[in-house]
Amino acid sequence: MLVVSNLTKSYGGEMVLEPLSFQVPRGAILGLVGPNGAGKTTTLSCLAGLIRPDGGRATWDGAPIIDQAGLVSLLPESPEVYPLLTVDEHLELTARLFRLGPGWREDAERLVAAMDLTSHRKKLGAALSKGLRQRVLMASIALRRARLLLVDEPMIGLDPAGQREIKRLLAEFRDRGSAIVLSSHQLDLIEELADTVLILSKGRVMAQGTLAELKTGAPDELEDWFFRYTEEGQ
Amino acid sequence: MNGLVFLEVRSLRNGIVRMFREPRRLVMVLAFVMMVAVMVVRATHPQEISPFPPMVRTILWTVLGSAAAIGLCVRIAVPTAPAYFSEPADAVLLLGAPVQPWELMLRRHWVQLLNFWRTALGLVYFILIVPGSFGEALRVVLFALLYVLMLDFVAIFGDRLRRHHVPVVAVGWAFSLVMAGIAVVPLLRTPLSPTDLFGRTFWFLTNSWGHVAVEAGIVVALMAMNVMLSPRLAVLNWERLMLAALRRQAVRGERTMADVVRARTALRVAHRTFRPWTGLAFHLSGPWVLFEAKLRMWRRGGAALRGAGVLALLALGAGYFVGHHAPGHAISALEFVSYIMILVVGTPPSMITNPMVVGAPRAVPLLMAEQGPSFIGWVTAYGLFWTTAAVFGVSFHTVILGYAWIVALTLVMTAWKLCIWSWFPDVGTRNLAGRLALILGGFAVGGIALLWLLWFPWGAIITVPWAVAEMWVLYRITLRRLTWAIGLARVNHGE
Repeated sequence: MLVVSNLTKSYGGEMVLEPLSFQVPRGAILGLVGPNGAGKTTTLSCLAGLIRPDGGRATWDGAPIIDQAGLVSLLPESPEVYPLLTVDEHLELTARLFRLGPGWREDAERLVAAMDLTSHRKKLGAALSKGLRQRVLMASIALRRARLLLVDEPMIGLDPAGQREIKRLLAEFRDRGSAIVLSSHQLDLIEELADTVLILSKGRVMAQGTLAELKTGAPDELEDWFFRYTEEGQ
Repeated sequence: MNGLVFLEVRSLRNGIVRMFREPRRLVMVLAFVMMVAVMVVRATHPQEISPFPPMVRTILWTVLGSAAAIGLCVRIAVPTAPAYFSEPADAVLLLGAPVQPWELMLRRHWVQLLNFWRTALGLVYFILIVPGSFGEALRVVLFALLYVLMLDFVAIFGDRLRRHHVPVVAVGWAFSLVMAGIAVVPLLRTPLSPTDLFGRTFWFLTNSWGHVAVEAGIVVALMAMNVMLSPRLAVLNWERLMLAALRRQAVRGERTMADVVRARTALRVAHRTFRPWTGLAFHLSGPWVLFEAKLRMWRRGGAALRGAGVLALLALGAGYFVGHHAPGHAISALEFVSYIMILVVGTPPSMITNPMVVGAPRAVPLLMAEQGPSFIGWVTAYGLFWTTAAVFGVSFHTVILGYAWIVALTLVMTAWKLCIWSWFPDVGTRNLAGRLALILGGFAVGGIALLWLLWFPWGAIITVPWAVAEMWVLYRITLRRLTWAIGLARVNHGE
């Protein structure tokens, strides 16, 4: 289980994350929503270890996540791949880096087909569109079967087929027992996939709970909650 | 195979395969073939084959060699190193991988070595065409290798130090004053021998062997300062600084992240426009590239622009005339004037081209702070280049004439581009006449190099690929830069 307690971060003396605490059990998706500048990407970056938080702890099964190799995968908003590696080589790189077992090639074949990358597998990263780069990263993450998945705006730049595949893969990850923190502006995606929702505004937690809890005494639509909670934070 | 090794090997292999597959890289392939031809000729004909006296031969070899080596270095570098390394991809694909910190460190240094490799390759070429004995050629290469190697490795540490921007700026200013004094005082002293390299750069030291060791130490220290404060790196630092400011604004809700992304994209384009000038070539031609960027600011005033073009041509003529008779004085004077002009007129290119910086709060003080380091970067770069050359016994003419060639060629290109901007303001968009003019300009510049054909038989081997490459690059780079500048002007000024 991912346990985040009192995570804080400031830039130049300005707090961008006020003490932030949440939990994500295995096999669950936490939806992270909030307006631009709410601190969603900062939260994910802190969890991934790309940014050093000012305070707080993030643990997985009681041990700091930063100390656990192979635990975390991050799918950033701007998907970046190696410009001089082909699609196939990205998957091979993942297999080698994470020392996957001999069956990885079959998994890779299945993922390439599932992500509709078959006709692009020999292309260099530099020649891939944003949507294709997103799929390559997703395939790479799926291949290594990360236990904790941090996903930042996964749908941007994807066509409907790609979006459907990402949703399917996220659900598959969850069903396999991975914990997922999913940041998105697409509230319908959150509503469809997330088990719990955390609404951030200006680095502060405005609301947190399961969908059922948040719906209690609130308007029916997630969009209406979103505006209600975030406007409270303005 | 280890994952990181796999990444390095495959990237390198794919990069090389791509280089040979793309038609525009054929120029380089041709250049490689020519290099081999030169090597064979030198091996089989140890004596110089030339109807000219040694001095003229030296000049020709030096000019052609400098231009070709630098041109090749840059052109070989452009498609490989920058595309090869992707820090954002590292952040995602290597995240959580069970790799050791030392492996990642090695990866970074490997990239540094790749950057170094592009220059080294050019230097191998240099050794083939340098005049005189093999021993002298080796000294040239050693000197250049040391120079570039120091720059590359000190850059790693300099980059870390420059994160503390303000103290470094203060140091840069202080250092500027000291170095300006060192540069000015010898110029005022009479009599001054043009070939007295040490006397001009470190006039306060005698030229005994004991002091050579001391000077070598000073060179290393100054190089560190130079790299820390060099314009190329300062520009990058600037951009990081401004992006960080934008991110903070985005966090405060004053800008959207989309603004930051746009700015980042814009800066990438700006980098590309300057990439061909980085490295050794940047240090040789840097002031003029920057000077050209300043002149771009005056573009809206057509008369001023034309005046600047004429000035550039006059400077070229004056430089040639004076340089012909007293190269040391001429280059020193030209450089010094250019420094002053940059200091007075100048803003870093990123300041001009960065849409997010224009009108940003604190832009003016930051701009002022930037000037000291940039100024001193150039002063030290040139001083050190000469000094290191002297330490390694490279002849004054070998260095100075190569440099004079670069300055002259850059000036010609600058003047031509200024005229194009003036005559065809929308050349960067869809103006066919403007594009044709640029291509013709490229041919003209290439033609200057081709003139050597008439004077020196072996010049063809070097100048043909170089001239073709130059024509191509001049056209592409100028067009891209103009497109960029004009697009920004419209955004910034609502044109």
